[in-house]
Amino acid sequence: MTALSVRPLDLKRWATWPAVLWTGLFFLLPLLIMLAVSFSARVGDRMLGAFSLDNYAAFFSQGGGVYVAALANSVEVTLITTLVSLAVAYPLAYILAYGVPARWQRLLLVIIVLPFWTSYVIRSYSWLLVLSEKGVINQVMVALGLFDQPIGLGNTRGATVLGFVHFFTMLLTLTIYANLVQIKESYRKAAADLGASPLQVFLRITLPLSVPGVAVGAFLTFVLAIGDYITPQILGGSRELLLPQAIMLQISRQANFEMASAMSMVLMLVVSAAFLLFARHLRMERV
Amino acid sequence: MAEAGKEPLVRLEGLCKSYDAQVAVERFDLTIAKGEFVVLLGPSGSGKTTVLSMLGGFTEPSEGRVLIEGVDVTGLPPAKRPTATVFQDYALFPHMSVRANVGFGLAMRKVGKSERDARAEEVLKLVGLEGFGSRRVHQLSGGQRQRVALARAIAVKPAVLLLDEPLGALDLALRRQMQEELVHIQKRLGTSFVHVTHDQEEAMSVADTIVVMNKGRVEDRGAPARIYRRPASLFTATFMGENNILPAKLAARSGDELTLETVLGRFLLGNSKDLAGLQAGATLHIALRPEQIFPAATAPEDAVPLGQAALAELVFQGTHWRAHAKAGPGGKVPLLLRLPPELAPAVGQSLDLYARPQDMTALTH
Amino acid sequence: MSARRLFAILYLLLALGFIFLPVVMLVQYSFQDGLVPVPPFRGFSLRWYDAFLANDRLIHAMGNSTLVAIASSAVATALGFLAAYGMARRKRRLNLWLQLLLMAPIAVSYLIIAMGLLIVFNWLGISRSLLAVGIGHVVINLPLCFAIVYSQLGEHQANIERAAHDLGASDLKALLLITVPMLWPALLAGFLIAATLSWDEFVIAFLLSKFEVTMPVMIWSMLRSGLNPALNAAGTIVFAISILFVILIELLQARSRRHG
Repeated sequence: MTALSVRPLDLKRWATWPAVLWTGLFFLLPLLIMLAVSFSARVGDRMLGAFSLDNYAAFFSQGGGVYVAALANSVEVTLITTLVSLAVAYPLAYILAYGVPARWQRLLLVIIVLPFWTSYVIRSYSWLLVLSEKGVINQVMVALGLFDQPIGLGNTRGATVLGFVHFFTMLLTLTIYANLVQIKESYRKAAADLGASPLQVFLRITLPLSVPGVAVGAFLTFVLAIGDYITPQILGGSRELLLPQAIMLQISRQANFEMASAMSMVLMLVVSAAFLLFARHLRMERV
Repeated sequence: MAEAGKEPLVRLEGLCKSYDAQVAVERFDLTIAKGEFVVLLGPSGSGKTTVLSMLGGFTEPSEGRVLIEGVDVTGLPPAKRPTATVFQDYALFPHMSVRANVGFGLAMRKVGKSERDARAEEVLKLVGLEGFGSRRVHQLSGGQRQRVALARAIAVKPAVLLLDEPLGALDLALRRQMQEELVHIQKRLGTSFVHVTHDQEEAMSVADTIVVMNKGRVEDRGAPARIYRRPASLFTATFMGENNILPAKLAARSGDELTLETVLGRFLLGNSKDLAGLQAGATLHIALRPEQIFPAATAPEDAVPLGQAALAELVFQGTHWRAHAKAGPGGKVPLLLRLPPELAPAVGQSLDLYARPQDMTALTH
Repeated sequence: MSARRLFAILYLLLALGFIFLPVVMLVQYSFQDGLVPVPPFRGFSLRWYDAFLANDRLIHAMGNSTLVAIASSAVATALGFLAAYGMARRKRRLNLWLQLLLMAPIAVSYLIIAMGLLIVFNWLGISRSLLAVGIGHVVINLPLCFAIVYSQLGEHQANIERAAHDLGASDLKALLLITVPMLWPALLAGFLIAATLSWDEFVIAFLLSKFEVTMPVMIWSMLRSGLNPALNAAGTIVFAISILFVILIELLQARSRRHG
């Protein structure tokens, strides 16, 4: 009998599974459990005691619609953030891609990203300082005569939007820039050759071809902003509650995981809706 | 060529372009008549693309002027010149349909949609893509994209059509087909074409006039047949097809007739009126095409002997045998030959070779 | 200078000013002599750096952050690499779904991921700890490490591996001796990005840690009890380290570009 030869380890076969198992166990499973918990009520000390729609009912009705308000606030703030960040980032990306000599572009990109290597928490508090009565903004406004007296700008929705816009401008600049530099120069030359003015080249060629970059950036902005806890908590304060803050309250103060799970499911639903909306624009036909 | 007394369509006067210390184009002059198909031919770095770019308005000349239809357009951007360019990578707008691409120039001229679409259909038919209007660019093959790029440029009825190595990305069979079609289309439209390429076969297939360029300078210009048979410079002689170059010395001259002394013998050339001013003893070169060196069996009546040559290498090419031979005393002169297939030559075989003096071209540079 | 150019320069400067504003404030007040980290600026001093370095709990938290970052990023990079390798080299119809699964965590709020883990760990009896935080960080960084490596595993690399197999190497040998060295820039990039994200991550660390905390959580609890100028010093130091990192990465990339 010939000796059985040991087959060398067929790595390709099983290499993918550790990562899949990890994600399945530590991501998918928790989500599924949360889904179940959101549809359950405690029986005694046991979670998943009985099927119940109470959590969702409470979401819509409790506290005079305070949770629905939180959801609405989150969506509003996120939409405003996305639009403002886009308005600030697009010109910046455009100037970087077409106005700056090629060898300085990378350096400028690095410079733009640099401030975001500070701690997120500390950076948000720095914004609070900037916006405070004794902060730079007030000082400048008072000196210019635009303010009669210092106004506390922190702890407002505007402060939250500002904090978000600060970060997402950077993100959007990166995605839009990456798209713009990929647009072949010969497209714009051809358009100009056929009689298009610089404005027409931008409106007919550059802008339409930059839509994928805009879509990716806007989608990321929406998803990351709507689920963010830190910025609204530090800069928005307790005057206006956003959904992540409401969820956190349920976990840390009430230990009401059922309620928190239900609210999380609602949040994920909103994000999924956003994804379906954006998915159309995310593909670019390869020419 | 332009008729005497009539203003040519395009006049390039004294165009120069340098980047810092690098000279890309040195004093380029050219006139183009209406309906003429001009080819700028040369290797990379010859400046041919730079000249085209200056014509189109994409590059500002360091010196010189560009006049189109009598108007000095040197300072005008591409949008305002009566030129249209077919780019090397086609540059078809990926987010527009074929019809929208072709009609783009017309849209910029504020032509109404129905008229635009009608004209687009017309032009697509001309390039052989009838009915392709609603296709998307990514659905087209390379050859089809090339035609759409052509159609888009034709649609705006430019005075001059500029083509930047338009056939470079196509395979050989397709390229040959497109060369023929380009000539057809150009003759039908009556528009002047300026075509840049590094492929001398292509140049000869399509051009009315070829301008041979090398390192920013014009080496030769004229009809394809003339340039091939009587190249004006060494570069042209070897760039336009294969050529044999023999060093020679001017032994004597009598008017237009030159007696040249070479290792293979003395030859009397009677066609060298451009070489006035050469003194006896001056060194030159003789260019002789491989297909104009004959073995005894096929040598024409007025051919003179070149001596014996031993065949060193033979490659069968279908219509002829391409042969490397060693000629002259001691077999020190390498010659490239094209031998008729019926000859059945063999390596090592010794042949008597003949050529006609009128097929030889004397070159000083 | 044309009006357009002037506008562009102005816009660029304004945008940069906006982006750098909080950081400039941060650095400025880390050096100030006053007690309260708000304007007006009162004299230069390094006392807050002393305070920071003397704060044992803060330094300890920093150490925890580093530990979690390195460990979780190493795991994420390894798993992501293996997953990308397995998927690129073995075509299955399942691959599309697996990819979707592996990339899904990107779209889910960290808060929800943290909460899910909290519930599951409770259930499984795993207590809140740095280990729990590390597990959570692997979850959020795995998609990125996977994506970065996957994008580098093209046909070109596949051919080189085939050549290695042809010459007699086993799968494992080819992997360790050929594939990994070829891909090291992507692996390093994934590792560094994961480490950066883990180091600064707050929500998961907050919910899943108890006694031993990471730096962002420590900073958070310190800030709850009032603005502390020592934190400006902490932030500035972190920022400075990051700049060094960025310079290092740039130099590495410049070197690899020069050597082809």
